[in-house]
Order: sequence, then C-alpha cells, then structure tokens
Amino acid sequence: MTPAAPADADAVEGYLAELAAALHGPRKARARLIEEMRGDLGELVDALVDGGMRVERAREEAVREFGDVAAVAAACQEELTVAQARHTASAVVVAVPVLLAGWSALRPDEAGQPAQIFAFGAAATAVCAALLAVVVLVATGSRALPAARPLPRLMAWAGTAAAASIVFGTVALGLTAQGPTLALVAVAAALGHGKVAASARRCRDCASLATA
Amino acid sequence: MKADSVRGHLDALLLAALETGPAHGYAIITAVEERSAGALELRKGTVYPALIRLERVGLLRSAWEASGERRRRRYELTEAGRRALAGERASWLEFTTAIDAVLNPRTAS
Repeated sequence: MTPAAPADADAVEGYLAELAAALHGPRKARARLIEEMRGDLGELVDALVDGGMRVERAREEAVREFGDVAAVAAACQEELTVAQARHTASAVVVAVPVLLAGWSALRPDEAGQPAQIFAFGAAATAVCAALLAVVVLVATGSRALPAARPLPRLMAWAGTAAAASIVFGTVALGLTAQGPTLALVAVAAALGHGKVAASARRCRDCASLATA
Repeated sequence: MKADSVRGHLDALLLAALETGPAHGYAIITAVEERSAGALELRKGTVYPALIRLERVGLLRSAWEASGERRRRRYELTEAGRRALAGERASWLEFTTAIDAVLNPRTAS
C-alpha cells in the first residue's frame, strides 16, 4: 500500500496517496490505476501551467477536476473488487486440478478407506469451487453476460472452501499414503492453499467493502 | 449535464471518443467534453475504472507509453469494441426516435 503523503507533498501526490490508501484489491491493478492517473494528472497540470496558472494552483485545480477521493475511490473499488474476484478464481482454477491430479496419484493402504471417503468430500467441494471460478471468469470477462453483484462474495467463500479442502484432503490421504509422491503433493498443497487462501481473504475484504 | 446524467451512457461515449484512433485516458475525457461543447461533464477520476472495465470485457486494449518522464496508458478500440459502438448507436437512435415520437407527435408523423 502506498504510504500517506507527507504534509509538504504537492496536491497531486497527496491526492494519489489518499486514493491509494482507500483502495483494496490486487496490488498490480491498484498500482496501474494510480500510475495511470499520475501520468494524466501531470499532463493536466502542465496544460494549466502553459495556460498561465501557477504550478501549485494548477495542481490543486487538476485534483479538483478529477473529483473527490471518496467518489473516485468508490468507482475504482467496484472494478478492483471484480479484479480481485477474477484473481481468486484464477488461483482456484489452477490449484484445484493440480491437487486433484496429485491426490489421484497417491496410493493409500487398505486401512485408508475412511480417509479416502473424507478426501472424496474435500475433492467434491474443491471441484464445485473450481466450477464457480470458471463461471466467474466467463461472466466477468464478457459484456454479454451481466457481471452479477454477488459473484465476488460467492467467489470469496468458494475460494475459502477450496483452500480448506486442499488442506483437509491432503491431510486425510497423507495419513495413510507414503512415498515421494506424498512429499510432492504436500508441497503442492501448501503452495496451493497459501495462494488460494490469501486471495480469497482479500476477495472477502473487497466484497465486504462493496456492501458496506 | 452533470456527471450523474451521463453515467448510463458512459460506455458508449468512451467508445465513440476512441473511434477516430488511440488516445490516453485524459484525452478521451476531453474529447467527450469538447464534442458535447461542454454540455457533458465527466467526473474525470471515475472514467479510469470505466476504461479498465471496457478493456476487461474485450472492447478496448491498452498499453503503457512513455511520455517524457511519465508513463501513460494508451487505449484503442478492438473489433468487438467497434461492433459494440455500432450497437450502442443503433439502440440510441431507436430510443431517441421513440421518445421524440411521444414528446413531439406532430414532427414525428
């Protein structure tokens, strides 16, 4: 997150710092918005100065024309929430098939039947989350389909469920399976869980902002 | 006309402003305001997420461009964007024709 501008920063940088502090969502998407506005605000300031305005006054005028931070942040957050939902969906779409392939490669011993049943439940949950993730990616990538407002919140909870399923399924199978494949699957599960859980948490934060 | 009146038509306005060629965000905003002779007033900061949304759904593409020491994002219409603009124009014509027929029955007949 961009730190708040110091008291003596110019009006443009102060405005951008305040805006950056108000935004939540994927880091790259936030940085792009701020960088793009910085470039265009700079051009606007130059044009006003060329027109005879003093530079400090031009910066204040440029910021005024861009609109108050609350209104601009609200408009940006709407798009950032969708971007975060797509980020979570992408993480789920990558992680779930990899883990399912890993689980299917594990060979639990005969005593592992209860664990397999438990893992089947986890797999079913993860597959449902992955299917919803595909729906989110398609619905938010096309103008023909209305991007339903509940999708980011649904995706957040589906991502959380997928992250939990990855852990439960791997632990269940890991209790009764052995060998180098198990180590590989455990590493993949740790990575997948980390990515999906972190993204889902940010998605929940964004979705709660949208309804606040 | 204030920014709130423009909101429902923002996509069409942004697409139309890019029809003549690629442009930066601020140039798109000024094109809309100048074409309307200042009648349409955009809340400039809210246009950037709208441009990103149009890019997300495939109607625009964009890339960074160096401008002196600054980096600026340059947008252009995709083929899908051109088709969407044609559709927006047709819908607008149909809408205004219908409204005009109701408001001005003599001139419409």
